[in-house]
Amino acid sequence: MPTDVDRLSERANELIARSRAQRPETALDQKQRRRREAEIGARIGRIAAADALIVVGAIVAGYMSTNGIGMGGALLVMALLVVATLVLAVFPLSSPPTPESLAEVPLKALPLTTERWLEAQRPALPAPMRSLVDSIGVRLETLAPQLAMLDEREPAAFEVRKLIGEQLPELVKGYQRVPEPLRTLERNGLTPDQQLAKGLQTIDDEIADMTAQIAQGDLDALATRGRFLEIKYGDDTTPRQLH
Amino acid sequence: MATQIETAEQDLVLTPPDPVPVVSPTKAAGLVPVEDSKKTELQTRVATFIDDLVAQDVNSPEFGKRVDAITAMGQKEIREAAGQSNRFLDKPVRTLSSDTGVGADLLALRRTVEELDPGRNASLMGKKGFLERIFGSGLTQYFQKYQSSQTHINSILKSLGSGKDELLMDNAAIDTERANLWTAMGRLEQMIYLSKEMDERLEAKAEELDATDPAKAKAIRETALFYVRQRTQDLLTQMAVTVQGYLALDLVKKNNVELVKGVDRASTTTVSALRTAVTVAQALTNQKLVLDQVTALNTTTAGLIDSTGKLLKTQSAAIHEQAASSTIPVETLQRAFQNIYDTMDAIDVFKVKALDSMKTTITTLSGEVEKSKGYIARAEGAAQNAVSGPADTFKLEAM
Repeated sequence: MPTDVDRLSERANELIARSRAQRPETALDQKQRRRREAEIGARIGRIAAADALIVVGAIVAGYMSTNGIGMGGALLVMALLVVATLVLAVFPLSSPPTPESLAEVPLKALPLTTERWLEAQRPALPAPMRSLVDSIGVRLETLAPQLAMLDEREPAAFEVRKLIGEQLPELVKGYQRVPEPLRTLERNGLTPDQQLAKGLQTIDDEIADMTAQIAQGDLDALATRGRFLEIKYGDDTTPRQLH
Repeated sequence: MATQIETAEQDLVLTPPDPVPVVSPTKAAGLVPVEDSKKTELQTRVATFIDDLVAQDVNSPEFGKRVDAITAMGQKEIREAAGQSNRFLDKPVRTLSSDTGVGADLLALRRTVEELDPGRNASLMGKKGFLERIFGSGLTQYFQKYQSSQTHINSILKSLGSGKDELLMDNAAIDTERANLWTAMGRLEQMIYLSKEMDERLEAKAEELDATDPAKAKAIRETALFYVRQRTQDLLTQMAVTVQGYLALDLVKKNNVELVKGVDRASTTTVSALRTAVTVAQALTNQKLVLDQVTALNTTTAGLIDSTGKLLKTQSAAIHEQAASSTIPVETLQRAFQNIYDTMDAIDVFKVKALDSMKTTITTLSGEVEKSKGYIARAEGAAQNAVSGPADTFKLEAM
């Protein structure tokens, strides 16, 4: 028999669900939705490929042997299909990258690899840190296409690699090495939890700064193009001297 | 008749801008005004910071962290501004070197035009037998030269047109960079205001503390105030370099504007000379000289050369009339060629002077940038120290 508390909590849950549904989609939601869709797509693809392989194998086997594969064979194929589908649907797509492997990933793939790694660490981090991790994830996604255009030898590329390939994993690893009971104990004015939060915040800001810095050249080029059009085709007949 | 053409052709004056002088740090501040609302905001920031600083025990790490914040003060602004004032040092010389682009095109144009010059084809201008030669084959041969070189001239003029576009593009890029520098200078200016304000208030605070807590007063003078003064000097030096860079960019831009004028005029006078030749040929030989390429150019140049297009229109009407009715059409043609030469000479003289100003400017600026590198290194060092130091609560930054 449900108590008042149960009813109340049920109503509260409904309210939360309703307000979630009404809330406009943020960049984070989009990211998560995209990732979910991509993952579901990848799983279905893999299952379809495995099943097709099994069926084709069965057909080939049926033609090859004189008596066909028989009842036992058909059952075996069915069992194989079920097992393959279940296994591929349940087990994760790929193992998350290790911090050590981040150093060898090419720059173009680095933001997304780091993001996958960070996503894997998410459950191990305290709840308040998760929103920061999400925010860093969104910023990494913005950074990814920018890095695709960047030359690996440029100083900016080096800085990016250092920040998201070394500093970020080191910070999280350093935090994870601290025994759990000590993480909430204050030491020299700050708890390890707070230190992690501050570090993540700094990295978050720094990635945003890097995005802005890398975009600087493109922004300038756009402004220059606009100004050129103004000078060449604008109303005034002589190039203007204004700055 | 020739004088009329002269009046139609306004004198082309290309003025090379003066070199940019050294801007002293004391005069650098104050170029970009800081808004009053921002001043008030900065004052509150300084007041909060100082109250916070004075509240700390002078030997505590918290006090040290706040002093670190002072040594890193304006470091971001300095780095930004320094990055931008260094970037344009590799920019200016390109457009003025005569081996490529506009310079090379003008040289090629000059060579081609010289071949067509009626003065050089002296047989035309000889006093004896002038009439015979006019009606003889010499003149027809002379005008045939135009037909054979029109394609070449056309391609040179087109190339000049794209060279001009490059100059305009450079100027557009300079406009963007100057806009960026202006913002950077605004932020530096705010930091200078902040550090001067900090200086005054710390000084006052130290005097106030002399009576009650002399040890703290001493610490404030020896650490906080000392670093504030050092930073003020750094900020002012960077401001001077940035202002100088800003002015130097303007110099490059003015040079480009003058060069564009020159290129426009060179194209106009050439087209106009070719048109005159068409008319003169008609008058002298009674044959129609067909310069399809030039006719095609007329329509495009009118659009290309916006500023001189109008001039070309009025002028060519006058020339046409003169050449057709004149008793001395060859002189008219000669005059048209002289216009081209005058333009090119003006550009050459301009280039020599402009290069001179540019060199002086680059030398002074490189010197200043070199000097400023010392304290930028100091600022970077302070920033590295401060990585674990200043918390967001007392970040000293421009808005």
